[in-house]
Amino acid sequence: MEITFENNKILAQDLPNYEAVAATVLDKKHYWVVLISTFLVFSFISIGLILCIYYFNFLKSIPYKQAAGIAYFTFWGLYIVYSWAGFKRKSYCYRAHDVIYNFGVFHKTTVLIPFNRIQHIALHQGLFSRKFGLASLQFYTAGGSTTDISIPGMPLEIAKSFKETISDKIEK
Amino acid sequence: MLFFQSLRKNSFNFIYLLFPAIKGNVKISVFLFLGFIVLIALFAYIKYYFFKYKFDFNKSAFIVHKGFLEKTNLSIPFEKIQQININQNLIHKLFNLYEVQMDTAGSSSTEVDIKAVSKSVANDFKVIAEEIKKLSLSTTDSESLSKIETSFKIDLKTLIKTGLTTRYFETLSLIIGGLFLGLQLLDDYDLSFASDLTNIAKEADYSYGLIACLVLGVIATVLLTNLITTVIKFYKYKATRSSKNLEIKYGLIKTKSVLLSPQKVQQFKTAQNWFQKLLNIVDIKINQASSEVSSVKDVRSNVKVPGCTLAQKQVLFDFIYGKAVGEEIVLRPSLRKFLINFMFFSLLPSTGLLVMHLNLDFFKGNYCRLFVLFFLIVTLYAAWRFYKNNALFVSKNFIRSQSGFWDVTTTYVEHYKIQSAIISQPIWYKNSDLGDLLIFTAGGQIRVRTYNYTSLKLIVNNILYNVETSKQKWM
Repeated sequence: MEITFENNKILAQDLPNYEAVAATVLDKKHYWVVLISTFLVFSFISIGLILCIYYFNFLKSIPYKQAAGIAYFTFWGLYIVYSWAGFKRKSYCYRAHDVIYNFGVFHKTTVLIPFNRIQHIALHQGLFSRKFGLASLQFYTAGGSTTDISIPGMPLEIAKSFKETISDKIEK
Repeated sequence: MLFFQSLRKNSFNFIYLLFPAIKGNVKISVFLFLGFIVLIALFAYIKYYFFKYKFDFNKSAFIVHKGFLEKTNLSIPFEKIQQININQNLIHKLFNLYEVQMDTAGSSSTEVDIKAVSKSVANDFKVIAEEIKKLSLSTTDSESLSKIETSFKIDLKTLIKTGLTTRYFETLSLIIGGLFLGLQLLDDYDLSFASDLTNIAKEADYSYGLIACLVLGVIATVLLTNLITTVIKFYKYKATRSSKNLEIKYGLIKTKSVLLSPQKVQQFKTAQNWFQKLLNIVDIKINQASSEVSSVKDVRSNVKVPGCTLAQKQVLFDFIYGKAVGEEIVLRPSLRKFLINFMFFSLLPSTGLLVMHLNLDFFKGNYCRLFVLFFLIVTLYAAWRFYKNNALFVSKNFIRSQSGFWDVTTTYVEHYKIQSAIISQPIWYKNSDLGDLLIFTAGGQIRVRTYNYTSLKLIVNNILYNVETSKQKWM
């Protein structure tokens, strides 16, 4: 039997709303980590390209070299802007019974994982996050890798304390 | 170890080693082939030699020692053994051997697969399995077993009906893919009749008669392939009740047995196309979680019921869930879903084909115009059916999604089986309040796109509440 959506008794309307709680944005220092790794990738690719152009003669004679150069740098410039927008958009929130993670520039996405469905948590520090005293928490669920989230940009101590409290909640 | 495993699994790709023979270098290819066989035999022997198992009744556990490079010692307590399956494939049947599969409640690394045992050993396993079941029954509270008869069989007539009505698109794409691959291979190896074939294809007079014959030929091939594979795969399909579980056995050449336990069921999927609706049969696929780690690809825990009647489907549903679905609210996608699908999959390719028709020599001809028109109409109809059939039903205990344009699939998921949810909204839908929802279970996901975002948010809040307040174990 089908009922209209507005006046139904199946969905409770007064439950806590996942959007109502203020989410915490990532630590500002994390953006430095993003910038550093982007810069490294950029350097590797650029050096590779320069070597290719130097050794392979045919590349020296392609037309529109200047346009290609401009396009290359524009691409990286846009990428930096995109990663900044992505960084601003990332936020997380620990409620009493679940963790919520927001991200996404063009597709605003929210991942919601109840604590009692988390398989395990891992605390992870990348090479550069360690230098800034930041860590990321990785949550694994039984729903597959699409729904496994990694929340970066948390100060190490805070990440550790979150891991402790959530691990306790899972053990129950 | 993983390297050798993947080598073994992909060994059929090494058929290409034979191709030097076709090019005339017979000696090299024979040498390569023999060398390859020797390697495989060596690895098989090593694996066999370094695999020992025994039942330790003192410790009440099943012990396995395996591995040559990576040694593994497994100790599986008897109470963790959930089911012992005895299977046979064609090679086993030739040598009167059996395969023993042990399913355990635990991570997938404790699942044991003994590839070949003799009949007497297999019987021993069967006896021990019965004993273990009796032990576990005595320790659990004696529930009065349901009086409803849940055992059923699927007879040959129903298998034929299913064989003729399922998997049209899958088999068709396999055949087309196979044809192209075959032609490509022939072309690559410069065999003389390959170019002859393509010449014939290009210069043939494509009269309507010829095309009709070709189309009928393809349809007949698809139907015949499906029929034969279905009958062989599900021959003598039988489901018998055994304590709280349903034991399912089927197969002609390769006999398989699967255990269906209601507690492990994550998703219940039914599929029905128009032909099946006329014949009153449904295809059912049940996903179970075999371990804590997500194992969607684990074939042994997915139960497929080909060609069930609606009554049998209800019996199965009641057996697994023990409750009715109840009142449901319906959510349908926005019309934009249809418009977008229509534009991208119908209008755009048709325009592309039309442009090719007007400009390229190969595509000039009446049949091309007819084809474009035919394509446009078919894809328009498909996009419309796709939009009309797409729906999300939410009830107190279940959430059910319906989708598809030919094989209409309905997926049932109980609220407390949900692992997590992802809700998203592309920024261009902000004003029209539309979004997507993904619901994850340990047996797969449900995805709904271009639905009312506010309603989806309300559903997400409810799902979270249901999951967080439920005390039931999801597997």
